[in-house]
Amino acid sequence: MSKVRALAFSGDEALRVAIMSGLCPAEVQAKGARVARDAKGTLFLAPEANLSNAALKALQQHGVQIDAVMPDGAEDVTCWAEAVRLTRMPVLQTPSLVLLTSPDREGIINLAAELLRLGCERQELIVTPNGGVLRCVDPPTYTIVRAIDRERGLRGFAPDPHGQETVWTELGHKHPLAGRLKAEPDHLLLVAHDGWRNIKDDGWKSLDSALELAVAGTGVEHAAVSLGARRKVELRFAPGRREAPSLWVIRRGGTAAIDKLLEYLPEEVVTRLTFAAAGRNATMLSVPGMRLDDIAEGAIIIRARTGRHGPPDLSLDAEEYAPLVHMPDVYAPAGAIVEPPLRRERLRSILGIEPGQVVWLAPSNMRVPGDPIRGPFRVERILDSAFAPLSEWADYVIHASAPQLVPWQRAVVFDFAPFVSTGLEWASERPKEEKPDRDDDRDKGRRAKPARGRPAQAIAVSVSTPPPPPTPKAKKAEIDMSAREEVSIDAELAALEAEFVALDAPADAPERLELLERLGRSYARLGRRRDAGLCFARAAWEAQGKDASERMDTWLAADLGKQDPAKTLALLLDNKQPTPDDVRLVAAIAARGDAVKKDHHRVVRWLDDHDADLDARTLWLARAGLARLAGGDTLGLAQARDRILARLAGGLPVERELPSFLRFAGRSGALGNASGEHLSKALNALADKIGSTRRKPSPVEAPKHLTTAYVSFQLAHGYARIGQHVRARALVVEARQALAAVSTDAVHAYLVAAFAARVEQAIQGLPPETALPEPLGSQLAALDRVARYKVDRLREASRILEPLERPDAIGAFSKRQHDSRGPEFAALRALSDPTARAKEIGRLVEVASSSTETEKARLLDGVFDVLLELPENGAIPILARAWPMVASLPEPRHAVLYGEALVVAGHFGRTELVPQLLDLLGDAVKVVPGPELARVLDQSLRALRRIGLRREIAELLADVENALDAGNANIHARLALAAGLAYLGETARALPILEQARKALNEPMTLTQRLDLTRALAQAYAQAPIGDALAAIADLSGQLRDITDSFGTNSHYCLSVLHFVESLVLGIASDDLALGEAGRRFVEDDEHLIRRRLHRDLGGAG
Amino acid sequence: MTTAVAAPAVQDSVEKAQGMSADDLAREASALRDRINRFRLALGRFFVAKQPLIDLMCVAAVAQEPLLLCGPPGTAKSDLVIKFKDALKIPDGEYFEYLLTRFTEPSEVFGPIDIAQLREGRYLRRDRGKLPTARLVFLDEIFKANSAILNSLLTVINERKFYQDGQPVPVKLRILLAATNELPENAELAALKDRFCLKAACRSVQDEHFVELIDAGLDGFTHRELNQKPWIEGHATLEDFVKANRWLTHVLARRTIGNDGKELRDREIYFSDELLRELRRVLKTLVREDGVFVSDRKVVKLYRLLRTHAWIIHGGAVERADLKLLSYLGETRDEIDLLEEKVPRLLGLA
Repeated sequence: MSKVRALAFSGDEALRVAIMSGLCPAEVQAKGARVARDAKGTLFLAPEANLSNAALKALQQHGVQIDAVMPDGAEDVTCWAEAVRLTRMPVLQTPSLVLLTSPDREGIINLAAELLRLGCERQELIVTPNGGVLRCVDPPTYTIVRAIDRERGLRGFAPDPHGQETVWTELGHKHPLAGRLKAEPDHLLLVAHDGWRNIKDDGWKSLDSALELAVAGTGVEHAAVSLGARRKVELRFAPGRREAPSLWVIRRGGTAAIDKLLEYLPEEVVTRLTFAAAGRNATMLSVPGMRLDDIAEGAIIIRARTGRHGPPDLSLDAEEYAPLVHMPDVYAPAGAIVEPPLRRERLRSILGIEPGQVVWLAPSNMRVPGDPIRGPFRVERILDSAFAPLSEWADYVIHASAPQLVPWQRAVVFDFAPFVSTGLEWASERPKEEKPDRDDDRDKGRRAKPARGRPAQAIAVSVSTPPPPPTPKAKKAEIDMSAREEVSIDAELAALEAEFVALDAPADAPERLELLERLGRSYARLGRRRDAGLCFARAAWEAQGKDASERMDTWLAADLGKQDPAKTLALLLDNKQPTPDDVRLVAAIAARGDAVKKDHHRVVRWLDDHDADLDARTLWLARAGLARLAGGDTLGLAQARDRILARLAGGLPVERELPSFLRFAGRSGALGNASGEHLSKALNALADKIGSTRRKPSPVEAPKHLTTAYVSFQLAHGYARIGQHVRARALVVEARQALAAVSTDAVHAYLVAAFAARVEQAIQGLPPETALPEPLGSQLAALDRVARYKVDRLREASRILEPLERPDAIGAFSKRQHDSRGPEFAALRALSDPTARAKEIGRLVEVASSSTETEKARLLDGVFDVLLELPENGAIPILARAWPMVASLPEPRHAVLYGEALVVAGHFGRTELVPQLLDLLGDAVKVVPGPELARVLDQSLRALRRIGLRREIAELLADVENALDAGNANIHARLALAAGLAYLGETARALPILEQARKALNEPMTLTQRLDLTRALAQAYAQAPIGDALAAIADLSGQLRDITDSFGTNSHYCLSVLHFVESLVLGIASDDLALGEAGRRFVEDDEHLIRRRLHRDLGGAG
Repeated sequence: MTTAVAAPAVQDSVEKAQGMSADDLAREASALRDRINRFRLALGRFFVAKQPLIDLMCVAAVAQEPLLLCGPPGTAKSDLVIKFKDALKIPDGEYFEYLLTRFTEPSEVFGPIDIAQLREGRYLRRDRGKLPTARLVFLDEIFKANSAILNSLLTVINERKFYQDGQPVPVKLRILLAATNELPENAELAALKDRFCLKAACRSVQDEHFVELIDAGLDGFTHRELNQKPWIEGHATLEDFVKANRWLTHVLARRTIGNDGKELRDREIYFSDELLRELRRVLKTLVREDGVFVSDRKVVKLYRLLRTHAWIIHGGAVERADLKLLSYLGETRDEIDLLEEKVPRLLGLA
């Protein structure tokens, strides 16, 4: 015992400081001591080893009483650190490695048995005289909670700190000096709040040594005998399922059958069909009942695309097939299954199905109609690439009136030359009476006005069909409309449109709403119901209460005339194939509410079936009206809100949401930008440049025709985006033909399908961020590692294929992962249900909270990405938990993650989160590395634009401008800044940066740097005034001569060429350039107004 | 659906049972329990391997908690409910069943609008023979209903009320049984799903009980053809279930003076601390390991249900075996299957 009686510390904290500060020598601390506490919390410690006078003096100087009287009840401790009390900690997660102790041997054996029962087999044991210690991996939560409760003496310990296995602290506790504790050699130190235990580590024993597992009953030995020859089991058909057919094989008279089909099928159905013509094939003679004459023209195969709607009922005289066991490329006769049932993979292997093929199993026996299908079958197959859209084969022509083709053709090519509109070409119904002198009176160019709306009445398919009877609306038009009136309305309309465009007022300004209502009335008088509806919906959108009702009444009065809304509604609800104008009218009646009280549920159901193509405003007004009638259907409204938000995910779909004059005003210069003709000319010039440039290819560069085919796809996408649909489709056909010889290759098969799908989406006016069709996801996932790498390289470089995701091809290849963000995110793809996805994403956030910094940053990065795919009520709670975690990461990581959080907040219109995130982002951009700043700026500006925060954009840009030096090192970030400035109309400040970047291209740099800079420059120019932009992009194309590479992807395409060309195509055909600054601002304000009302109506609730 | 007029005598006795005092009920409690036990065991004889579900229906009925039966077609979901109703001798007027579809309109469930009243400006439903006037309700394919019906159902389950001309009117509902072929994982339906604290799978039994199934099926066929209902044995009535509910309500609320003169709550007598910790452990395990969602509301309901289960099955304090009721907490079909296997394993009762 030391000569001092006891040291008195003011508390545990003081003792801890004394231990850590070195006031007391380590060798003395490591020895035992007697410890006691008094009622005031003073800690008395009498060390076993003597303290030097110097140490005593130092302790005294720091407030430790060095000669205190030890109170009664002192206890021995093995070292000073044991005297420091443990603090309580919640156990938020079950630790993966745990040590469990029990006071007796029986307890430890029972514990091992419990762990086994609950599925934990990874156990090891040290038996001690008093019981034992059990170490287990991934213990069940149940046992851990028991240990925390110390039920029946059970205790649990986890290694603290992580990464070692000698010092273990009791679960639910933390020793303040945990990082400094060391166990004696060959011992385990168990730190508990009621004393420490040292356990001799004489080697962990397997569980078998503790548990004797026995089998009841005696064993029986069976001798093996050799089997005879393998049994041959013939696969055959048996009756068994009821799927609707989605593949039809016409063996005889296929061409005629298709012609007949096209005569009566609605265009909407035709677009859902593809077809392939199988060549003459001698093997077809094996088809029962087939004669040589029958196969003269080969078979025709019609296939329905998969989609939201089921396959259409074609009522064809053909063999009908349906997909077999959820394999979209394998078909069996409708009503038949294959027996014996086999696993999918096994069946595919037996049938010899290769990727890129469509296979159907045709019955070998003649079948009596009506009888179930039984018996053997044969396998027939055709290349997937042989299928072409059926609509491409249909040349719809206007019956017996060639001159009328002109406006229709012009509509398809979207060539908007200047003209004065009569508006009549767009009418839903033409007046019955011909007015020959009207055409004479007007500029012939007026006939070139695009005939949008419903051209179907005037169009027949190859053969003459009688025009449908005029609707009451058309009759009204006939009665009301005279040529003189049309002219006057035309003039009035043109004036109103010009006034609207010229008006310098916010999108929700009262004078704009007034103008919209007047425009709506004028369109309605001309029978342009789509435009009228869009204008009225806009006018009613911002109105409230009585004003809203009055505006809706104006809409209905204009569209219905003197017809009774209830009667019209009843008629419309009986129509199973309504036109878009009919759907809009029903929605308007529903929005007003009065007339649908009787048929409320019928209207809801009818709209459920038909409202897919309604614009967001009309859809919401209708749903809100119906919800009001139901006494507040929050569920229904939330569903409608989520549908609308999903549509807006990639920005406002202008094709669907804007009245025509606003869409084309953007391209005709009315909203301050260039005409579509200029964009089209720029693309033509680029195509010519690509065709005429003599590049110097590397020795290993891919065959020119392969790369050129993909360039055609990229150009097709560009043409499709600016409305040149015919040219786009022609280029797709050209590209497909060029790649036909290699279409069985998995890489080409995927890329062709993906590019073609993107072009088709652009033609349909879908936002660029629209997901690719689901089968392509499966096709991608099925690629082997090398093929996947080659596809991923192009996906990585291509904003057409992957506008949002940035796959890390090399990383994924080397780590053998299917999602570069990590395996967790690859697994998310398999969860299609939003609730399950939200749950899993929430779990990832939990995991991130207790992960290392690197892991946390990776998980949060991925989580913010995938939140955009959830509905708002799933995403926002997760966002609220996730974004505060960013603060715990190193500063350079903040900017990217706050930027991503801002994108999510912006996407869901949660403006209340924005100021805080923006403040954090403003600080974070000052320390973010240059290359990442470009990405941060790009995404943050987009988010802020979406929620209409121009002032905040200006502030963020100011922060960035201050943080960036003017050198070329940060040129990407500066380009993003320039794009932002150009967006704000600060062209004078933006152009010098753009010019600097152009000059930088003349300096030596690697090919990758050149490609990336070209892309960034083209994107930034897309925000600049059209004249500067198109000239600069044309100038950029001059670099093509030197673009080539020797990458491994040259087996299929030259990546650098595609990367380069795509940058220029997207620069020309970006929405930003097509709309121009004023149009762009209008669209973004417009989107903001939609989001604002949705959140207002639902109170921002999830 | 059945719409016959209710028998006033039964109505009265049920209403009377609602107002009985604790002392009166205490005298009857033991007999009540015996009757309910005879009832559940007797009814079990008419089914193959459905005794656990019948027990659960009795627990739900006494606790007046809704019960959801989930299973593919042809697994006796409807048959269980109909025989349960018959065996309790519930008159047709007090029973309402309906197969819901997305096209079902509120008037089919809550009654059509009274046109005569509407002319006078009052928006009232003629609820006779519909859900608001029934004491036992069976809703088949409940999640297929449209949002208008689901919203109203939420109010009925939560508040035991529905709205007539904007005014809340109490419903007579005592027992709500629902069935579904599949449990949607749609977030919009989460609120309604959460109201069903108990969800049980109704499974096909042909693999394990093939011969018994055929025998029982043929018996059932014969009974139907001959219009016999031998399961109506008169062991218990709806009145008994209502009294049992009333009795347990009194019991859960009372305070008893312990040996040390201290006031003891029901929990301290009928739910030992050790078992309460075990309940917490099992719940925590299910939440952490399997992501089972257990709301606070459900935890409270669960206590009542466990006490009810203990009272019916053995009459004493809650025992470890009673905790098997946690098997029915699953929110999705996968969770239901998992919990039915895992909970007994956790409790060491497998």
